Amino acid sequence: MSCHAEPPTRASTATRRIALVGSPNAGKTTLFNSLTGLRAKTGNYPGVTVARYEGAHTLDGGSDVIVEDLPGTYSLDPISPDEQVVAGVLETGASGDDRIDALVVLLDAANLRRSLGLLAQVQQLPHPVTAVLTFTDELARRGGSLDVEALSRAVGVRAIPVIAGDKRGVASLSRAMEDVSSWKRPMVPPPTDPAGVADWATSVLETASFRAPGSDKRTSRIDGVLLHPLWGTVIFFATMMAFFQVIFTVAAPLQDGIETFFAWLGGVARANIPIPWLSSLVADALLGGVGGVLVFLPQIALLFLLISLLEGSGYLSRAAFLMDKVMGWAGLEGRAFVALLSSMACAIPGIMATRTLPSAKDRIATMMGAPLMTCSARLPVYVLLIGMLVPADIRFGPVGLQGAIMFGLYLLGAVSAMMSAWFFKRIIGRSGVGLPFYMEMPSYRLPRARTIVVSVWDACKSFLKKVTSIIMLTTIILWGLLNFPLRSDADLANAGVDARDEVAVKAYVIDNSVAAGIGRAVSPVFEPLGFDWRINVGVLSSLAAREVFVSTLGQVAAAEDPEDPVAALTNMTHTDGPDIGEKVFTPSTIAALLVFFVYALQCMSTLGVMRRETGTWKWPVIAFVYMGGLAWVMAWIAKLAVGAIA
Amino acid sequence: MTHAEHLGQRQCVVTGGESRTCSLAELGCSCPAKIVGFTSDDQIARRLFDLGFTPGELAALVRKAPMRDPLVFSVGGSQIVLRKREASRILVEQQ
Repeated sequence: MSCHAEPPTRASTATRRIALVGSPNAGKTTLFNSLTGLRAKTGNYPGVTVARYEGAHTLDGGSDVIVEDLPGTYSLDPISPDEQVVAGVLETGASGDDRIDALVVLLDAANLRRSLGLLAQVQQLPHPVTAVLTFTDELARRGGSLDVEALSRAVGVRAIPVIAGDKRGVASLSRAMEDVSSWKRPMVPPPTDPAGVADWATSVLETASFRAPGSDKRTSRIDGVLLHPLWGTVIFFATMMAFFQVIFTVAAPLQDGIETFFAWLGGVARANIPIPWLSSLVADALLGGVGGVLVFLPQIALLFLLISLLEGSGYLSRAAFLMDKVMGWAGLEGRAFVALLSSMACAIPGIMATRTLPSAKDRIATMMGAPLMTCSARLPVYVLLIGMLVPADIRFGPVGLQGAIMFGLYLLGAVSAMMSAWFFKRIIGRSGVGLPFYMEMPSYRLPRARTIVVSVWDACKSFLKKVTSIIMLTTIILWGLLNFPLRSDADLANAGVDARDEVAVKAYVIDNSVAAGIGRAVSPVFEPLGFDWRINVGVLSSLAAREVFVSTLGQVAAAEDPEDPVAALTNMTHTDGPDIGEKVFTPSTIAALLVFFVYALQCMSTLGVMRRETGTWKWPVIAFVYMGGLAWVMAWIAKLAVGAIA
Repeated sequence: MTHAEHLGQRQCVVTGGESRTCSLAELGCSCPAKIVGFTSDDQIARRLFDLGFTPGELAALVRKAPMRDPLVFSVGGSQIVLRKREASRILVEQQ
C-alpha cells in the first residue's frame, strides 16, 4: 500500500480516520453500524459530556480504517458547547493524534436541499469528501427521483447511494475508503452565505433532475392518530406505562435469577472455604460485588432495547413532541422524559438514557435530577419503614394509608427531580444564550434489528467495563468496614458470644466493627434527625445499594430472621445518649428516615455511571453533596412536622 | 479564522416590510406561506436557516401539540418541531 499521497501528519494507513458527518435521522448510525458492527467503542470527547463513537472497519485489502461517527448535526456553525467540540474535532482533531483524514457526508435524498447546505459547509474544510446518498428508496416511494451521476458531477464529489441494509452500497463505500487521496474535489468550493448557498442548491437540484418527494402519506396517516390531541395522548401514556412496566416487571425475574444464582454461589463458597473471614470476603464482598454489577444488566438491556425500538420507528420524537411542554416547566425538553421515566426503575439506565439528549447542558441537568426519581431499590426500604410507621388496616375509603404514603413518596421524588433539573439547568453555563429547541419528525420506519442489537450490546458492554471496578471496590470497602476488626473464637468467648450462633456472631462483629465506630462518630450529625448509631450503620451500608439498608438493620438489630426484622426493630431502644431506653423508631424518626431516602444519593453505582457518562468526577461529587445536604434538611423538616402532629 | 468562525459571520436577515408579513408562530391555517426572513440576525437565525427555513421556501403548520406548543412545520420535504419562541423568529408572507 502506497503512502506517498498521505497527508504529512499521517505515517501509516492503519490509523487513518474517516469521520461520518450528517444530520440526525439521515441514517448515520445505520451506516456506522454496517461499517463497524460490534467493534465500535463508546467514549467521551475530552472533558465534555458528548458521547464519542468510533470503530475499526476492515477494508478489502485487510487493513483497517477508524470510522468516527460524529454527533448528528444540521450545521457546522456551532451554537452550543457540544457543537463547538465537533467543530474543533473537524478542524484539528480532539487531541494531537486523532486528526481526521477524510469525511463522509450523508445526504438524505428525501431532504436533499437541506443536506446540500451541510455539504456546502463541509466542502469548505480541507479534507477529502465523499457523499453518501441515503433513503433513495424512500424518495422513490414518495414519488420523487434524482440522477445520482448528475448530482455527483454537480457537487464535484462522488455520491454513493447506500440504502440501509443493502450490502452493495456499503461495499462500494468501503472500496472508496481504500484511497481517500484520490477522492474528487470540486474546482471551486460551493458558497456558504445564505443567498449564495440557496442559489447553488437550486442549481444542483436542477442539474440532478431532482423531483421533490410528495408528502409522506403513510407517516401523515399514522401521525393523525398518534399525535391526535386526545388519542395521541392516551396512546402516549399507554406506551409509556408499558415501557415502564417492561423495565420494572420483566427485568425483575431476571434480576431475581441473578441474585439467587450469586447467593447460591456464595453459599457454595461459604461451605467450602474453611477460614471464616476469607469465606465471608469471597461470598459477601467478591461474589456479592459481581452479582451487584450483573443485577443491573437486565434493566439496562431492556431499556436500550425499548429505546432503540422507539427511536428506530420514529416514535421517540413523537413522545418528545407530546411531552415537550411539560418538560419545559423544568427547563428541559421533551427528549428528557424517557430518561426521567426510566429512572423510576433504576437511575443507572436512566442516566445512560440521557445520551439521547443533544445538549450537554440538558444532559447534566437531567442527570442531576434523575436519581431523585423513586427507583426500585428504594422500594424495600419504603416497605419496611412504612410498615413500621402506620398499620396496614388504616383506610380512607378505598385508599390505604400505607399506599397513600408510598404514592406521596413517589410524587415527592418526581417533583424534586424536576425542580432539581430546573435548578441545575439555570446555574450551568448561565452566560450562554438559551439554545433553541428544534427536532425533526422522521418518517415512520421499521426499526433495524442490527441497530437494536448494537445499541443493547454497546450499552451493556460499556456499563460492565466502566462501572464494574467502582461497584466492586465499594462493596469490598463496605465489607471491610462492617467486618473488621476480625474476631477470633477467643474474642467471642470473652465477650460472652456463642461462636456457633451465626446470627449472634454476625451481630457482635457488626456492633464492634469499624463501621459501627463510624456510625457512632457521625451520630452528632444525624442526632437531630433522631437516627442512632445503628441507623447510621444501615445508612452507610446502603451506599452499596439502598436495599442493603434492610438486611443490615436486620443484622444490627440481631433479629432472628434478617429477612423480617420489623419486630426486632420496632422494639429497638437507644443504647446511649440522652434518649437512653427510649424507642429508636418513633414516628418522627421513621418519617425523617423515609424522607432521607427520598433525597440521599445512597448509591455508589449511580455515582460510577455519572462519572462514566460525564467523563469527570465533578458531577457525581456535586450530586452526592447536594443530595446529601438536601436529604438532611428535608429529613429534619419531616421529623419536626411529624413530631408536631404525632 | 477557523471554519466555524467563518460560518458564524453569515447574515440571514432579509428586511422585507411587506404588509402581509407575519411570524411563523402566528400562522393560523395549514396553508403554506413563503419564508421571507428572520426577526433578528444571530446564531439562532443561522441555525433555523440551516434547518431548512430558507427565505423563498414554503413552510406550513402541520399540527400543534396538545398544549398548543410546540408546533410541527413542514418545510423542504421534512417536518420540523419548533417551540413558539423559535417559530416567532421566522417571518413569512401569507400566499
